[in-house]
Amino acid sequence: MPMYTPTKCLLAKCLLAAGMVLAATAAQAQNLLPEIPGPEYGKLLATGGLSNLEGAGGGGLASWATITGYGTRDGFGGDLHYTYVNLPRYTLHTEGAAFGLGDRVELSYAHQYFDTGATGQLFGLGKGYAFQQDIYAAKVRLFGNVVYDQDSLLPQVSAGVMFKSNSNGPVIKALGAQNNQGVDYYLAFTKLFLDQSLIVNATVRATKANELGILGFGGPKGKGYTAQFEGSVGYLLTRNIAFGGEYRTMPSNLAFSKSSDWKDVFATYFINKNASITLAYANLGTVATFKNQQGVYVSAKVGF
Amino acid sequence: MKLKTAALAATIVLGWSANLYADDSVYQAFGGQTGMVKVVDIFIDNVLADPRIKDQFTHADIPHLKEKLVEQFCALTGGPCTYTGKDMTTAHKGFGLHDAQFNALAEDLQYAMDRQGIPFRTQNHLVSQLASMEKQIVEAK
Repeated sequence: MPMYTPTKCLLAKCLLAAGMVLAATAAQAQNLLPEIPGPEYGKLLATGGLSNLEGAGGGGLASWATITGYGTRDGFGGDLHYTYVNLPRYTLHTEGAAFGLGDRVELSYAHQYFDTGATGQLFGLGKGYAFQQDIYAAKVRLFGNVVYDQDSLLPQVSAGVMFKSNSNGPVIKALGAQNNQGVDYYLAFTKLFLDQSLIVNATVRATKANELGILGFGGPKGKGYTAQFEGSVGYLLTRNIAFGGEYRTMPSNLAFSKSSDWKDVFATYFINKNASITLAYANLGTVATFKNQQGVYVSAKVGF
Repeated sequence: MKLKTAALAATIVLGWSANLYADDSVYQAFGGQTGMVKVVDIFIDNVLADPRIKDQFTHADIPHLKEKLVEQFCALTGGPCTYTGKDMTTAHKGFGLHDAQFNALAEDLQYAMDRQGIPFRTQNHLVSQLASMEKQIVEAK
């Protein structure tokens, strides 16, 4: 089995991301006349959102109703993203790509790598044991437009589905999970109160996933779907900076460990129309028996 | 009874308007009349140089357009003006405009407001009202 070397890959990915940002910026600069707005003037205030831990467009923890990328009704857009979360006992890397079509449909793929580090030994899994998951997702905007609907309380509403597949079948089952594959269904409501420079999201999700599916699906304490909630509030401080907080509830299906709700506070810097970087502080509570798993979260997104 | 409550709720949800300002503080934050004229000047200069949309303005009466925009922006920000121009649907009918062009124009306006040093959150008070006009302006759906 190939050895995954997180440090080298992290560096390579950072360089790749940085290279893409520079390339995108250079390409933009060549096409501009002096008086035309620079590339930082985005899809009206960068409402393409960020990319979350599961690869869908949204906040960091929550999936939003927004469709990734630059495309309006008449076009398409997309992005690549990389996220790194550093917890006392674990690290989580997520990388992925998402495409938005006609501001109506979003398709995304994300790969999650949950490294147990030294903690892996305590579980008898071996040092550096990693849980990995692939997420294939689709989202459809049902109605509403987050930017243009400023004269009503109508949110933009989207329905999404995520097919999740965890590659650690035997270990997952040993931990008590029922399955190493699962499907999440969600309905997201996103509203931009432009007059108040505020963006708000509420999502309802039907899921069986333990820690997003990293620890499998279902378990002794919960075999079926439960309804979970995720919410985000973001304040647009300037054209380039947004900050806010998020909250996400988790099912409690596993017996060997509690699954705490997740929360974060974040700040995002929109470098230009094509790139953003997010710094957050996330608190995931108890993860696989270890309490107080909180730490820094960094995410980079490059769009086109 | 339930139908009436639902209708009332629907009216509140759909008729929400945060756009009526009790005073002219937003207008003053734009620099009042002088400031608004300057913003519109820079805005239209940007538009006429913007390869994405400048061709839409080949036959426009630019001084008249600027005058009407100042009136409209003044009224929308709580200033002492009455907009006397055409409604947005009539003014844009037949141009076959797409969202991409609408967004390009909005970007040109945002850039003009930045050049004039209008704070971002103040800009949003105006942009939020203009954003709602998309459904009247954009024909290509």
